[in-house]
Amino acid sequence: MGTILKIAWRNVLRNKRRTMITGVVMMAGIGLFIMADSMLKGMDRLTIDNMVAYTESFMKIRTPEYISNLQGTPLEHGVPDPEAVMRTAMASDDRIVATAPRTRFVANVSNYEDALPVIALAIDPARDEAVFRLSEAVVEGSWLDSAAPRSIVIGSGLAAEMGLTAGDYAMVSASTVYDNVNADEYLVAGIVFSPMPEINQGGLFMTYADADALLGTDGFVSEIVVASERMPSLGDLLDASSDAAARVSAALPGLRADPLTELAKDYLAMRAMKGKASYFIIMVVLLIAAVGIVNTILMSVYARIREIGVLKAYGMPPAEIRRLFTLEGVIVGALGSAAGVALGSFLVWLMATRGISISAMVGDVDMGGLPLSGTLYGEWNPATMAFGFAFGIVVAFVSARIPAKRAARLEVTDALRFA
Amino acid sequence: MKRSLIMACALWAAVYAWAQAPADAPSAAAILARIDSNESFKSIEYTGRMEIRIGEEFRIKTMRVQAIGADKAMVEFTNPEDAGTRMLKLDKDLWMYFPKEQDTVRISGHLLKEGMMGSDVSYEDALESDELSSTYSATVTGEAEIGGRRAFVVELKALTPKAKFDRRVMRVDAERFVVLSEDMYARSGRLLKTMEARKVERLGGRWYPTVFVLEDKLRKNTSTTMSLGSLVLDIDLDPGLFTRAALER
Repeated sequence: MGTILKIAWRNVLRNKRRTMITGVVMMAGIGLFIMADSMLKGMDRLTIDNMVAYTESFMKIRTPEYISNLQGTPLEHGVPDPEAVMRTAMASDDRIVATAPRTRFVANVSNYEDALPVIALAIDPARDEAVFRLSEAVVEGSWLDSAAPRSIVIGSGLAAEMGLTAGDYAMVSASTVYDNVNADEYLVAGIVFSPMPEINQGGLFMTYADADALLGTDGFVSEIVVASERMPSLGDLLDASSDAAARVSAALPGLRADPLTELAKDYLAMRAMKGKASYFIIMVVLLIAAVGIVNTILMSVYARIREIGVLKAYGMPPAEIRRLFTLEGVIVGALGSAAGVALGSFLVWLMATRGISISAMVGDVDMGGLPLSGTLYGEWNPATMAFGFAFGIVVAFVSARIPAKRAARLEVTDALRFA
Repeated sequence: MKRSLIMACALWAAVYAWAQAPADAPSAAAILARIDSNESFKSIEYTGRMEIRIGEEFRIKTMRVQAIGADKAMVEFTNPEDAGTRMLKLDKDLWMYFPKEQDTVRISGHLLKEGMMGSDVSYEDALESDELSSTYSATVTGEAEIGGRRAFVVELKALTPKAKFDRRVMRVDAERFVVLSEDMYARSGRLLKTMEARKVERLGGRWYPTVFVLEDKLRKNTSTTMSLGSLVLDIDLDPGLFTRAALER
């Protein structure tokens, strides 16, 4: 076996051009496969990260009664003693770094010509900033300031549809806690453009002081939103959220802490379906790579049939010949796969460190309501790299084995005459 | 000192209101009681016609309405574009049935306060009546002439935060005790709506506005003229009309 290995290695080095071509094909195929997988996982991460940073947070704490009436956005069944709840949540899990109260309500925004229904949010601007990144998404005017009463921040799409700009006034009306309508005029302090289409199209934010005056509430809080430290991967984030939510729920009897798996369940269900489509894309990439690998190895074997004839004439048994050519294919496969993993790792590193701007990639194309905008960062996936490496070797083995078997069966005379 | 000042202001306001009120005006409470006896109902049935004007645009919607109190209501639209579309209200729950799709959708209770089919008339306006005497305190602040009829100007202030409007200014027919026009204000002081009765009819022993114009003051250049036909008040309605089965029939 040692001699066969030596001959195989020497042959690989002797046929540099062929080895190079096969290696490059494998490198490109496996490298692209690793990059495609990293990008798809990065898209999932970006989507969930955007949900966490703009709408859902790491987890939400609400009463079970509020959750069962969620569709009606009621001004009842709120979180009792929100300050105590926030303190308990912070103390329940080290991964929780900030909490903030929020109150969701249905409102109508009017520019006096048209009126549009929106899901409005009452927030504490300073605390909300510690959980969400909305203040960074202000594209016109400024973020809410508790010291500036009677002001609102609205989504960019809503502002465009209503013809409102920062500094304009809008009429906001809503059902109060007493089940009647109240309305008042508010200064549009700022306009936000976020990766979340729902915020851009129908987002309205106001301070608790303004919301209490409008809704007749007295510090009513419909949910507590929670921020965590950044997790290294999407899997870690989802696991940490579920684990922390279980701890918070246990520490807060009568309340329910919903983790991201619940808050983003629609997207996660869609992701599971999308996973099948992604698997198909990756299989196509691998198939193209496999065809390239098979083709170059087949070419290398058939180009050397006469060489096989000479080896047979010197008395080398067919099994040894088969082993030699298979080993050559596996060596080339291993080199190509290693290069492919190296290329893939480099591309993933580039994407993970520098990221790709989604808007630069696809422009203003609607992503079907998905919160997929901002900078896409690649995700490291060692399992994909291991799979790519093993796949390259297996394909090389199979594609070298078949012609090697055929060549080993040839008569010496036929092999020598082979053109 | 502060207390004396407040008392002096209150006294001045009462004297001013008394001075402004017409000499032969009944008390404000009596006016509210008369309005209630005319316009308040336990159940209602009518065919409605809404002429909705939004800027230059003009739309007509027709419907059949049946309602018991504030808890049960069924509205069926009969104009060609919406024919067969039905809405069922049971307490705070709302469902809409769309005949083309043969689909029933549960909708947010907030819709009750929104304009019906883009009009200035909310579902509450179309389906419910207010018991003014028990909900508002009132002051007669003057007299006016509305459409050639003498009217008392009555200002209402909500006694409870649950009142439909925080403040209302009504011009009440001095003879028939029907509201001829009204301005409705939110708790913030904003004018939300105005109403102007165009036709008042006698139904049995009571007077009732059967054609009125509502204007949503949170929008500009819109108004809805609502005409009530075949109107019957305090009718015995079959509770079976207000079920999901009846909605999807």
